[in-house]
Amino acid sequence: MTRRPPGVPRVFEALLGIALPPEEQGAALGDLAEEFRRIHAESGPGAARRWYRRQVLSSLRTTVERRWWRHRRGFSGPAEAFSEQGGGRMEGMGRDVRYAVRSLFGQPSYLVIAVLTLGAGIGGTAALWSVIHDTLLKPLPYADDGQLVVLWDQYSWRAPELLHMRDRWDGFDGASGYTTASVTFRLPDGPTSQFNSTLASAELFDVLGTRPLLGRGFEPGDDAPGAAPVVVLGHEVWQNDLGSDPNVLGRIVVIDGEPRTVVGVMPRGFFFPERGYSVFLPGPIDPENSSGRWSVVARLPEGRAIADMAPVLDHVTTELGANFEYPSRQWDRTEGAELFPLRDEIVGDVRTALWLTLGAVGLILAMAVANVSALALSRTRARRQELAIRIALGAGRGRIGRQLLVESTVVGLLAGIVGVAFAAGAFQGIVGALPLTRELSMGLGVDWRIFGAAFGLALLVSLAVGSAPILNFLRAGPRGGLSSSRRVVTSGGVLERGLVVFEMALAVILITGAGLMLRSVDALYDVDPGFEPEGLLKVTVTMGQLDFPDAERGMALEALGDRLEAVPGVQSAAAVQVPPLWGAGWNFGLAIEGREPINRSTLYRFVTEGYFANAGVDVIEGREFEATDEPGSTVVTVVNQAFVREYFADEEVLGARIDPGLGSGWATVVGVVEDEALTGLREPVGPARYVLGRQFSWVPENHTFLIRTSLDPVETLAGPVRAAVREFDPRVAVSDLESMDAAFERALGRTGQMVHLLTALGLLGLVLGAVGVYGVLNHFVTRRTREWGVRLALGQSPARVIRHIMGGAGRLVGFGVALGLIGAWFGSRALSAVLFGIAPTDATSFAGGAIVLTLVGLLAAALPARRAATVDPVISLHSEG
Amino acid sequence: MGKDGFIGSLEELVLLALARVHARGDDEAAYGMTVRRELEERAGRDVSIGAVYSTLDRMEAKGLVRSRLADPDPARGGRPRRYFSLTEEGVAAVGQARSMRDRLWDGLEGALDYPG
Repeated sequence: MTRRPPGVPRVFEALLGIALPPEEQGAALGDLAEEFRRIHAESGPGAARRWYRRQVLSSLRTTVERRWWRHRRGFSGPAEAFSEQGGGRMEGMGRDVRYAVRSLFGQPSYLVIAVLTLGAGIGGTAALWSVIHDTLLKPLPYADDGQLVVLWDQYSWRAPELLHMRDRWDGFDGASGYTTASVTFRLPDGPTSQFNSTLASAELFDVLGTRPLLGRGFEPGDDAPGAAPVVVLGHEVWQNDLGSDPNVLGRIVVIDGEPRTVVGVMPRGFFFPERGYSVFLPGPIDPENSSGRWSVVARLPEGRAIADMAPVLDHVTTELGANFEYPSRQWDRTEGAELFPLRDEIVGDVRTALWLTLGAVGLILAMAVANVSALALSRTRARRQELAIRIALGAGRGRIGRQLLVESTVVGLLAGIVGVAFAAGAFQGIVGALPLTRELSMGLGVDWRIFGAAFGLALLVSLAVGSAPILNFLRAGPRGGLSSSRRVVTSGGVLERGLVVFEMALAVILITGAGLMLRSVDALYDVDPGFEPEGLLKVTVTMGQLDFPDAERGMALEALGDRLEAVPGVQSAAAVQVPPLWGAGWNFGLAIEGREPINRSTLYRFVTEGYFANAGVDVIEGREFEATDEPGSTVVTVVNQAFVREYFADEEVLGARIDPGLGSGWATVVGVVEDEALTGLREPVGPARYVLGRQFSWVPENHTFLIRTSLDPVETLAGPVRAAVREFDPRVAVSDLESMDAAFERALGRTGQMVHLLTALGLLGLVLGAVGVYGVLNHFVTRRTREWGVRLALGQSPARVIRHIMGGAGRLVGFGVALGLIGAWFGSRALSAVLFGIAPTDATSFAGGAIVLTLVGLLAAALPARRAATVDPVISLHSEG
Repeated sequence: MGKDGFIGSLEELVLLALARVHARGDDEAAYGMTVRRELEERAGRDVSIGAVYSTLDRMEAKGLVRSRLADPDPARGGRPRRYFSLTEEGVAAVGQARSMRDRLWDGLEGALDYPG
């Protein structure tokens, strides 16, 4: 039994125990323990422990090193200086570092290329990994979020269904309905702002398993119509708008014009269903309102997965089928029952794009590594003679190996610093360039743990990169080095060439990918959006329900439009319920007079007078809304060309009557307008109808004004527009002020956003590829200076020398390009989700990538080749290169 | 001993410290820690126990010292001591180192002004 004397610092004892050779553990640790007791008795426990720790720490290095040498040689050490304490040992290390730095700075081009390429690759990878970690991998702010699912048919469940199912979600650990809305928010005496809010049934916070930071969540009954109006605030609202008031519970805030009592505050970082949703309202779930606007989130019982839930879903559909009628197949809730992980709903289809980008950055990192490896190999090869001489003069091989290792470490440290600086500095830029929605990019920050890891990665990579030539050198031994200086070198360089081929291949993949993206964006720009985005400023206004009664909002919007037109610089202004390119928005069922009910919903838009002329949407037939279309006069509607193609291909549409489904009775079609890209650029325009808001007793609280101006940039108007709205009525909230051009750019979607990043990465890849080819061929040519001299001296023409070198380079480049095309052919499939208008195997992009890389590769080779051809035979024969 | 038959300075110090411990007549006193203490007290060199063992180990491989393990000692947490002693080669090596130094010093007395 081993018994330690009291008080020996155990961690330190264990540490040294691990480091010591087993056969020496007993004696050394025993000595330390004995001495520890002596000092303990003489000077007290504190002094003894300090002494012990110091002994262990200063013994560790010698001990580890001794084991290493013992392992290699069977005894302790190569030279005494290594095992001496303090000065001698550190001086040796200091010398090595000084030597490494001198040697590296002697060849600044190598140092700069190595540090910058490695740094950029590592920094980029780290930054992207931060983003991916935050968006895709980090747990959501809910208990056990893997068990949360969303039920099929989002934003289409009706209140009666929710109420009926409320106590019948057997097989789930709870379920809650929710939907979202844009609301106005103000303190009773404060200015109005617009917030995204989540409306949910009372069960929401229980299902999510998140407890409020202050107060309570929702209670049963909170979500019934007519219940006392309460609100739970998100942390940001509490912090920013209520000054983190600790006595916030019971305070009144006005939401959509309705005073509500604050009953709870959620913890920092909580969001639902997306980031940026910061106001949580209970319901109301009105059994009288059967519009389908709800989603359902549910919790799977512990240990159950989505795949296990089929019987439970059967039960749900049976229950729904028995109690509700679904005449329209499109909304038949007994069909297509399915569960989706909540995370997928939150992250959306960003996943593919993010991994793709990380893949591209990873390729850059791989290229950087290959590049620096090739350069390091060439460098060591070129230095072989120097190293061999040093060995012959008595320098230990271990010592030289160590110096080479120190060089790699210095490169790694510098690359790490550059990488961390790059990632930190460019982080916001990178996030901005990523295909993230605004909600997803909220709260993204630099994750310093990942940057720590990046720094470690930089060191590891550069050590790995540096170790290849070291091993290569140590294996070959000094003899190879010395003798090689006396003859023409014909061998070697296979590894370098392999690396260059690899690098060229990666560059081709990147450039081809960038080409595919560029061609897609080109195709998207060619799509006619059906309106004129240039010179339009867009601004969303929200008129809270209680501030502006339903019947007044339509007229209030017209009046606000008039006020905006009075702002200097404004040519015209008109509002639409949902701006173009925004997404589907609302759609309702459609009935056409004299026909069977159409079981498909159709897009519709409330607008104000003058909308089409203002937006630049051409009237094809009939007329647009006019001043004579008064409230109370004949209700009129305007449809788009897609609507005519779909429903009136063989009939006259003007004068036909359709039911807008808003309780207004029939509306007469008075005009047909050009297909405006309502939902986005990538999808074909669907049938749509427009109605004039002022003719209806109800219009939505949100509208977007499109303001046409000759001012440039259109954002100049932002301030005056805000002022005009405030002056019109301070209860109107203003949000999402931006140019329509910006909205158009965003509508290019992930393709548009990724194209910049991928193009930049492609260009970086191109530069890296060129540097790689140049660097390796340059060394190749320099090493064989004597050979060129001999060839020229023997009468070979310079042109033939050039041909010889270019032939070699051509094979290298050609091989790399061919490999790259094969890689790109497989890789482009991953891109297909973000491509538009072209096939993933688009010949133009592939040919472009191949041609560009071949040209760049040959150009990079031409410089060293020209140098070889101009070698002076006499000088070269004297040279030892 | 190195290829040239000379020993390094730390080796010389350790050998001398070991010899001093032995000279006190107690064979059971010559182990790593007492050598370390001797170096610290006599020569003012604060050397880690790891470095002492490393040097002793290396010198054992060169045949300058030999060692034996004693029985486990409860006072040391049940661990044995490893006693060291100089071999003839070890004695010769320190002697050689001294005479080399002496030869180098010869005639320098008074010529060099050094502190202490």
